[in-house]
Amino acid sequence: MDIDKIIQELSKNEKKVLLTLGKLQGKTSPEEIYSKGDFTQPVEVMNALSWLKSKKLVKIKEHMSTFYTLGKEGVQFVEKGLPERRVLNLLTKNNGRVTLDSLKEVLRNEEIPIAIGWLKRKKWADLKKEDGKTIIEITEKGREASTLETEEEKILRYLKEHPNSPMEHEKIKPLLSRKDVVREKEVFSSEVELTDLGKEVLSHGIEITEEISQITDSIIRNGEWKEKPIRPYDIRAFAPSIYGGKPHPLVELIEKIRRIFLEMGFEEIEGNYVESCFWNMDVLFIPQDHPAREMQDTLYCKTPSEIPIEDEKLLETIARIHENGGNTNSTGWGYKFSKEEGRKALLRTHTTVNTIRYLYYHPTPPAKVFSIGKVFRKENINSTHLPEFYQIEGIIHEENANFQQLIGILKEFYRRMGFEKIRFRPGYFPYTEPSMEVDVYWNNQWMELGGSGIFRPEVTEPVGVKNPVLAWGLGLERLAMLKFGLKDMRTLYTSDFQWLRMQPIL
Amino acid sequence: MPVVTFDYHEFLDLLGYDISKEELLDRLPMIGGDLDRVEGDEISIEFFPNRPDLSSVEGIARASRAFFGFKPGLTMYPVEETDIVMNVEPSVKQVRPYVACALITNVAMSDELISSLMGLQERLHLGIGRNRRRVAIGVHNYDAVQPPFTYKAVDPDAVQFIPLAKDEPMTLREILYKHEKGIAYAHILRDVDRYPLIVDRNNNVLSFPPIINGILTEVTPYTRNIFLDVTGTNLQAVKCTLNIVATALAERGGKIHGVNIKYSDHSEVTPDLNPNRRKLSISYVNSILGLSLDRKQIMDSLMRMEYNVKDIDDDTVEIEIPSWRADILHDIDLVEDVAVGYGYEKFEGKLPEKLTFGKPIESHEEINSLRTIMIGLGFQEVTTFTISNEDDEFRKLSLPVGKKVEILNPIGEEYSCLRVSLLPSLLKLLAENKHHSLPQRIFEIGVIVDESFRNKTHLAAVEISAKASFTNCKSIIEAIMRNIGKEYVLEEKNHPAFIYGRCASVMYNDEEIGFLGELHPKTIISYELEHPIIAFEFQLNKILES
Repeated sequence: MDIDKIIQELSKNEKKVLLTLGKLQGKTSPEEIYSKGDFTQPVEVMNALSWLKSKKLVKIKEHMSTFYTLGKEGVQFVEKGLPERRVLNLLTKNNGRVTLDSLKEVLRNEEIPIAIGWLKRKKWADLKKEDGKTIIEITEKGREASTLETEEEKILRYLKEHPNSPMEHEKIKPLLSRKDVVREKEVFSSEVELTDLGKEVLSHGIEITEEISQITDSIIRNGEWKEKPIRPYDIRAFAPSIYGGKPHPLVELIEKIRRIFLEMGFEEIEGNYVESCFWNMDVLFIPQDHPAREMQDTLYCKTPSEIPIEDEKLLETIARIHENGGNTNSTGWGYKFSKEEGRKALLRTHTTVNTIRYLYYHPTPPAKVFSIGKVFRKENINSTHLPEFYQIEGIIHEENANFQQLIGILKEFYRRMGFEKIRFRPGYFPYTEPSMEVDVYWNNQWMELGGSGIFRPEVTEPVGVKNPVLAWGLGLERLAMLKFGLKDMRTLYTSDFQWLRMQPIL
Repeated sequence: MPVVTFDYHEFLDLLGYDISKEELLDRLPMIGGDLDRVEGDEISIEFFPNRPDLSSVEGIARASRAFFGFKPGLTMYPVEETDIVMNVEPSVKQVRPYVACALITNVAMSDELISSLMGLQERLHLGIGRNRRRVAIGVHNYDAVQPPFTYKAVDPDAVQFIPLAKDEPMTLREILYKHEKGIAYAHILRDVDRYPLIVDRNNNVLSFPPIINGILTEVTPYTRNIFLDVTGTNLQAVKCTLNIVATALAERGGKIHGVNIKYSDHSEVTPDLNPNRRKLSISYVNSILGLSLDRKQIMDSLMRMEYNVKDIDDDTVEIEIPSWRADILHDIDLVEDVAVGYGYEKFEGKLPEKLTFGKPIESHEEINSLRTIMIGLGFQEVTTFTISNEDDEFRKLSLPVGKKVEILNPIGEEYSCLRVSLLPSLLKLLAENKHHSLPQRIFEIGVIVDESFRNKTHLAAVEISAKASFTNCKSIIEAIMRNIGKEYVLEEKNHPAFIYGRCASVMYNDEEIGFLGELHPKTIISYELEHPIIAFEFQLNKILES
């Protein structure tokens, strides 16, 4: 450690504290430093001490001590005497014998039993019954005590003169047992001690020179900065944390992906959460008895329970496609299609519903379209599943679009997303053929991150699309978990503010 | 998707060829499946639901034999003729119309094979069987019964037999109420008053499809001859399922025998293992895949996927499709198998050719500017759930319960409707973060679903702090409106969640576009919070689209 540099970076108050500490044999209380060290405010000492502590020049030990002060009753007792003392005085005045009734002369009603209790305990008096009256009679011990000040009385007198004093607990214990006679106060006090480094710095010689610490308006204007040196700071010293407002990491990630799509020439689309089974499932050639359509997988709506299908002709076409393939050269699924089933309302289970609607309204190529939106599934909330999550989806519709191009565009897309190494495996989705699973290489292992394929002719032909449509999608939350190193998906939605504060934005 | 678990050595025995475990694990997913787990020699793989023929280790071994090039092309299994008859009475037509059967002899049954067979049965029931509604399988000890057999629908109280896992006779109706399988699958028979039944010549019950078999034909490690019945509502699925189970047993060394299924108006022999035929155009394959494969390459690729292929003309090949494949609906399904057989890893990728221009949704760009404004004002952005409940959306805000999207089958009370405003989501998040220091200032730009069940984008923000006040809130609104450049006026608003006289509507072009104010203590308490809160919410569509 460079002692000269340490000394150079000491503020004026830090120097003053060190010098005062030196004068006081290197060990004292902050209060003592304040009173001996020519400071204007105690806070100057405290601030300087905390800096000196962080520079490891002093050690600060904190300990707790108890201080005592007179309570409301205690003040009274000092003035009038303890209740038992007052009775003792009365006894002395009346030759050592008084009736119980006469105690009212010197005591309040509620003090009488207290006084008698203490008289008995201290053995200053005895109680006797005579002719139906209670008589109090002084004892030998009472006579002796009548001229002596007890320990308790001394303490009370002392506390009146010296409020907030420390006391031995054993001594003050009897007074604490009386109601509101003395009050306890616990106070932290600290002891400051020079460290070896502090002593070394001090022995090097500290000189208090006039220097500029905080630059002020007037220092700038009056030119003081020309005359005095500006003290260098320890740039490694602690600075308090600030957080400010900032974007949510998930939204930032969405924005990043939007930019990637836009840069690659894609048009953004969106749609509603509430959809019909027809558009969400039937048009996408998902058979009506497909397990994913069951109540345990899909969230259906009670209100609205149904959504009208605007295009009756399309409904008819789709029914044929499912039953026997219609005009598509497909065998279809070979079951009886229910139009009623198609009208049922649900919370969309994928954003592909937006895509197919877009194709229905825009059947002419070329088109490149994307959407990033919430989808819903009947999943219980846990660290890897949520009932609502974002889906990222893109399609390419052009003449002669093909599987080779799908692989090409996926490589480019995932590369822009930060995944250089990806691989493709056969996959299965009811509405694409051929289908692919996309794996990315991340943290030294392959992770499944997306599905893709070419829309089946049973999907595209009924909505008037004559060319292949390349499609792919992936889950945003899984991606976010990879990118943010999260173990629990819930963090993204029921966010702990501390996580939000600390999480870097990509 | 069902997971198939098998032992590496058991697999090699079935395969009949040698392949290292590493290569197997590397190549298996390329047929189409997700490797689920590998523990020592125990391999678990999840195949896709379109390939029920891969839901047994026997089926996987057969597909691997072709795919790895050991024995490409279609595996042929002989079916021996028999005079075994299954009579189908017309009474099943309205109940469960189709049945297909097979006899498999010479089966070396063992505990392992029984559990493997039960696993296959279970996976087929779940997938192609649609939880037994569409297809159900019965596996029987053939030697316990005598043909001919009859498939009929009967009065639920008229017949009784001892079902599996019981030791007393029960009527069909009793089984539905008392037997655990009956309870589990009773819903399939909810709408019929006669129940399906298969009996032998002596009226001994083989099975009560799709619920349970009789104990009479229970399969044990000593069973040598197996009778399969498959019933269901879709003939193609029924036959395909039978073919999958029968050929799996044949892979284990069993001999397949046909059964004559006699309907009232026609008859047929099952299992029918004759391949389906389809013609495929080579130029169509190449146009979809973006390759220029020649005839030989396409034939090789298809043979690796268990097809037999014949030359027809310059551009056409004829394909024989295994009878256990249920997923070839269209030529495109064959195109995929060409790609899989060729190998996905061999595609290098090309870029699309047509020029298109990127085009954002205009309002999303404006929303981003708003986010910048909010962050600049010191608010932390948050994201919250869209699914909410009536209490949070209405009652805790002292609002009458209004129209909203209600979920028919919610995951729980707390998640029973879609939110109609953002404010409750933010208040719930504050409650989650009670243990952190104040002040807390958060905002969200998110979707709510309105009374016409359409998505709307709102902006809401809250601040919880000892010093939160209406004036504070008004300053923020002023800053926002200044920055988006819209003239507005404030009007008194009486919102029951806010303190009377400290709540205002933000009016733009004589229309309310949002509101702001100081929350009433009762609202603060209803969200289990305990510090002053200011809040505002804007309907962004009313600002951004004008």
